Amino acid sequence: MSEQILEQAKTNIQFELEQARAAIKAEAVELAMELAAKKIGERMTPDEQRKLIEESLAKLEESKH
Amino acid sequence: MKKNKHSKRFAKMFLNAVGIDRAPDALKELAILKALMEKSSEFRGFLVNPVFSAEERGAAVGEVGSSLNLSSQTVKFVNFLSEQGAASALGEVADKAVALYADMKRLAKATVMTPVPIGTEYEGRLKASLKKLVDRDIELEYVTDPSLLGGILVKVGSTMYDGSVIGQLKLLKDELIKG
Repeated sequence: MSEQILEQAKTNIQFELEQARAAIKAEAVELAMELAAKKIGERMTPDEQRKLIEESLAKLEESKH
Repeated sequence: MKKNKHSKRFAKMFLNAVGIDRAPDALKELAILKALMEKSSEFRGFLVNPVFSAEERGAAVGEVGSSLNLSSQTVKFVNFLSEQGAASALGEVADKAVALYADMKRLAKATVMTPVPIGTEYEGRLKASLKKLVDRDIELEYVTDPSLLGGILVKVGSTMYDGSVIGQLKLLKDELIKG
């Protein structure tokens, strides 16, 4: 019985640990993306905007039905 | 908001009443009224609140119609919706009418979103490539959304083409979270 409880506790701890890891990872990725978006926004020049629009349009033109 | 099950029927009635040639102008008028309803709770109240009589509603719509220079057909239609107790579905009817009109004209409306205004310099290329994708003539609507950061995001019906920087960042984010 006590072994069963111990096993269950281990499984629970493992699960909680994985959940916590996933949450920390998601938060870190979220922060990194926010930072990346901020930096890109700050450094974007009209020329780069134009280039990106041209690139998007070229990809759209290559898209197949 | 609860959907009105008759909105498509009302939209058809509206298009039949104004006729296909006058439809583009009439649809613009409906869009103006839709925006007004969203913006002005007073106007909305006049249309949907049962406290006001049909005459009071008619007068309010008439006044708005003349100040906005709306056609008598549009004014009549809004009064009709109001009489039917369906004025709250005006926005829905307006959207359905736009879609029906597009269907009648084999037109698809595409919303082109960019972080900075692009004017009409890409219009020809956009229309041609989107026509190839959806096999319809394309009507473009431009929306500026700085949060896209760069590139273009296009929506045509249920199809979305996301070439924006923020879209790519989101993909990257999903991959990083999954991986």
